Amino acid sequence: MRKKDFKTYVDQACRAAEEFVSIYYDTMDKRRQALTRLYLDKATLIWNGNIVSGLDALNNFFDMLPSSEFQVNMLDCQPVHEQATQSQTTILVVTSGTVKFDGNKQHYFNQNFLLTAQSTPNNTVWKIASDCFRFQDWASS
Amino acid sequence: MGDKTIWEQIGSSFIQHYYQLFDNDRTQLGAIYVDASCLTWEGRQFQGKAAIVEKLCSLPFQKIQHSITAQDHQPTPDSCIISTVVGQLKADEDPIVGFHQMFLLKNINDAWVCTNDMFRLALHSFG
Repeated sequence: MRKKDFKTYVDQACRAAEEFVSIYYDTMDKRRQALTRLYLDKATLIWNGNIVSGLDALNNFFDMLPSSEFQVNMLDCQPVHEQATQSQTTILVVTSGTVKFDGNKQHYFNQNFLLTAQSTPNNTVWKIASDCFRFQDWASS
Repeated sequence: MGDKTIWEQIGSSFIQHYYQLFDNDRTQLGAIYVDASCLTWEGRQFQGKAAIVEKLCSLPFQKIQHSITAQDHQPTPDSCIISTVVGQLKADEDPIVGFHQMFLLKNINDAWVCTNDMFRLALHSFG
């Protein structure tokens, strides 16, 4: 891929990532019951080392998780080259910031998502295939 | 606790190898990247094995030591592996600082290489 094309490719991926991340944390904080709509049916999540696999388990998990207040301070994003994926457009996103769950102290967190594009004639919908979340101070929390 | 899954085995093996190379001789890191690899280092993008190795070798410290607090490994729908690391590092005589790094690993010709690498220091947190 020529350098110019690559940069355009990255810019497009990052815009999509920023938009997705904004929706994700807003939904997590304010419309928690709708959160799993952002995940693929077979999506997997590892939450502070705990594996949550598939929509049923994800629904259950997010239902039990206390209410949250997320603040995202950093976002990094990369498109995944066609060579690393068979077909769909894929983006890797890493976020970090702070979060306070009801009844718990505030933590710094890191989260990464593998997003895949589901394209319809009118638009592209991004969904989470893989999700990994950890407190930065996980060892001492 | 049962045996590790195959992706945990591959991921943890890769992680161990990566930080061992990084801490002892960064010039050898080229072997784990390919020409299609991307690195995001503290927000800056580097594309391709050569550019990535150049960046890593030009980092301004003599001594570096990584210590891993936690690692997570997940398979992706297309048989890649995402490995995530949270830990601390010490460069030269600088204070210990937290870091977070994520790797996307792909099997190419029977070898697991890194196609995507994203690194950030956790500058707000102290130990």
